Amino acid sequence: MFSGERINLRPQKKEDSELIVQYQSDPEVTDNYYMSMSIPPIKDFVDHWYERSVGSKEGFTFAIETKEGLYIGGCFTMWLNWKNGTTYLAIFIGHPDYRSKGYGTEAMKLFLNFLFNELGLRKVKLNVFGFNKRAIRSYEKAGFNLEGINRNELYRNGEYHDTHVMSITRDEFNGGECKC
Amino acid sequence: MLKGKLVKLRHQSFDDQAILAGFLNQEHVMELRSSELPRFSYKEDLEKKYKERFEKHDDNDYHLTIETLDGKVIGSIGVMFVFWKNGFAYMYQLIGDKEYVEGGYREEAIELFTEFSFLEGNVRKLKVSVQENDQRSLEAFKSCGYELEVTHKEDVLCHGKYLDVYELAIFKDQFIAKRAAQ
Repeated sequence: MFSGERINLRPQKKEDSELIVQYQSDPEVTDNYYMSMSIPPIKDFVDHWYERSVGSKEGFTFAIETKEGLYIGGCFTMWLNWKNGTTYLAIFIGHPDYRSKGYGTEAMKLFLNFLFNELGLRKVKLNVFGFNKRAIRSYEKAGFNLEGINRNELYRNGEYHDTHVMSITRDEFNGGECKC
Repeated sequence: MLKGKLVKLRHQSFDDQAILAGFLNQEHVMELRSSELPRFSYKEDLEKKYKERFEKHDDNDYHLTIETLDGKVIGSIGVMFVFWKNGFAYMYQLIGDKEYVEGGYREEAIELFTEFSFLEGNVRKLKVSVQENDQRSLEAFKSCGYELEVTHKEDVLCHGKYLDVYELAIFKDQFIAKRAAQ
């Protein structure tokens, strides 16, 4: 477990599945999160995802919980590349009461600290939808910089939208104000 | 068959796989593929993947062979993945025969393939990644109308140095407008 001031990162549990389905049934989450079709997942899908991630050597998945033990969201790596020391990540705060209050930023810092200073990765990247201004601000606050914009990359609600590629290096993280 | 003034594009065949394995194992090709571990390619492995694709027969990837007008195989071009919902596809190209890395063969293959993907495949946007040390490909894509979208700074390790990786893209509308203007 990795502890912050208000949250912990812990291994995901099978019992989290119901809350994941509940959180990801909220359009506020799915519309801002899914590159594929914005359809809420079913429990079978989440359970399958969990079973695949257990013991996986391909990536890392953490649950974000409050100090009281309430599961409020998750974060995980994608396309982890050991050879080049890079990974993409995704993070979400699913519980509506914990959005826009700094919980996501704190989870991000803990996760980045793990990726850079425990795994030794060199660079972390993410994709964020251009219309998700709140997330972009939060990532900037955590030290991410824009690498570029994929124009009209996502089709959502009848329109094409840009997606942003952002990144942070280990040096930027450890030298910046975001160091844990 | 897609035919230009210098090259033809046709379906990849089983027999091409041995030639492609030879291309992929050359240093001048391996150093342009630094996102992956620098492993050698084996014809048996490529043949196995070819058979799997053949049996699967879906529309999510397509792979063509680049050959000269007299039938010499010089490279490969294709789409690795189509994201139908968002209308874009990730493509790749490879001129493996060193004698043909210059002379306009690559540019013509990209142009033919781009046209095919837009006018026959009904793809809306084509995307490609090119490493900093692959200036020939970078210039070839730009000459066909591809534009830079993202620079992944110091993203891949090659010969002890971290290199940038460029993501370029072209839209169907843009390609058709450019054609009309010509």
